[in-house]
Amino acid sequence: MLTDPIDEKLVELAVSGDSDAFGEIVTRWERKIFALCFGMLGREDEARDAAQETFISAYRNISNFRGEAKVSSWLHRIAVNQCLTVKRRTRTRSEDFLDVGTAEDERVFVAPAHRSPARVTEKTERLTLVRQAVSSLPVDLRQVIVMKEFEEMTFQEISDTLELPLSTVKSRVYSALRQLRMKLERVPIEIS
Amino acid sequence: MNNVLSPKCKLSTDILSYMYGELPAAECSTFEAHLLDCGDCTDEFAAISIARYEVYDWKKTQFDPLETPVFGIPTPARAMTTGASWIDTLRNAYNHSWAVPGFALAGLAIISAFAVMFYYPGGTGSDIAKVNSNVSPVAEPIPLAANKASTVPSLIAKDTVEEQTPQPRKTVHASSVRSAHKLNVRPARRSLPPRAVEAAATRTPQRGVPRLNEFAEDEDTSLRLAQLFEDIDTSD
Repeated sequence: MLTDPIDEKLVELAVSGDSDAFGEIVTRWERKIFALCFGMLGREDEARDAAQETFISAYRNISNFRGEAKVSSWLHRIAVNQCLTVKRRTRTRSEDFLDVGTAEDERVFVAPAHRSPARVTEKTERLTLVRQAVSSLPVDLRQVIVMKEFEEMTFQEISDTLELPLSTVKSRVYSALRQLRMKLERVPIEIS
Repeated sequence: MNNVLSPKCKLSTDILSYMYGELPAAECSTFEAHLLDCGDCTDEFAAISIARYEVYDWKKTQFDPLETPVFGIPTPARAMTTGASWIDTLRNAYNHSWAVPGFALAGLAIISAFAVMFYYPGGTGSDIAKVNSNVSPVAEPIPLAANKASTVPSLIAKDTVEEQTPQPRKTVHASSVRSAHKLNVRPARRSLPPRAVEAAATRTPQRGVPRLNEFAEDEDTSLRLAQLFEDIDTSD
């Protein structure tokens, strides 16, 4: 990946005290970490909280990053931990943890407002890309993805409907998500 | 499912089930513990989650806000209950798949019934082709023929029921009738029974229709033959 060296460089800068560098890391990985948390928790509000706590934890432990793994892997692991922590908590979380850290240095890497024009345009373009990517999938893969995501069917229900083995259904969903991932990853590199 | 990760990760197949919340609780704990230890599985899980969230976000943003369209399917029963006119009812009935063949069969049946009634020998139709058997015998005796020597049965058509006044008759198709004309046989006049007159009055002449004989269909030919036989002089 072209962005990997830059990420590690940013981490080095962040370790040296450059808050803007860590902010750039947050901007680059916030959506992906959020998606990972959503995949772990299944709810947007909990995923948002878990992602927030992930970056907070990463900023606090950035000095422990030794460069042995990729920045993405490092962030992923932190996110998984946070998600598991959220899962073990009770539904009524304490807001004190989120209120803490309003210091200026911690607010630097808080994600910017979601309603900025740039964000809206970016979101519109991304939705268009997702629709095109899904449409470009083979029919058998597109079918299971739509049934899974739009109709919210279980794997067993899809298996019964399409009269396919359960393992085949899971394999097709997995292949579809992998292909989507590759198609969507290709776009940011081309733009830059 | 193909394991794109290290073959050592036996739990990579549980990524999807865990992500969609379909993994049993006991296996969830095992998988979560594995994620903490296996970086490859964690990265793979993140990659799959990103793609999955993009599709989820697309659905939530562009599909969920759409209102569910209302599909109105008109049915014949619905039209009848709302008090539709008989034209609408007939139109709705005609829209059924069985309507056209059903109406066709009904039409054929009606036509067949009419055809049977018209052409059946015991029916009332085709008066021209049949001899009217409802003729009652003539009450008054038939006058003798002018030429007693004539042995040819007179098949000359007498006064037609339509012609109450003596008028020259039309030619008859039977050859014997022609020969009878040559023998100068005077046609006998007689009055027809009222029943025959009434039936004849309602009958309209058909021009150009060939007739087997010239005399009226009400005539009693048996009497005429008997009369003729009486005239035959068998004495030597």
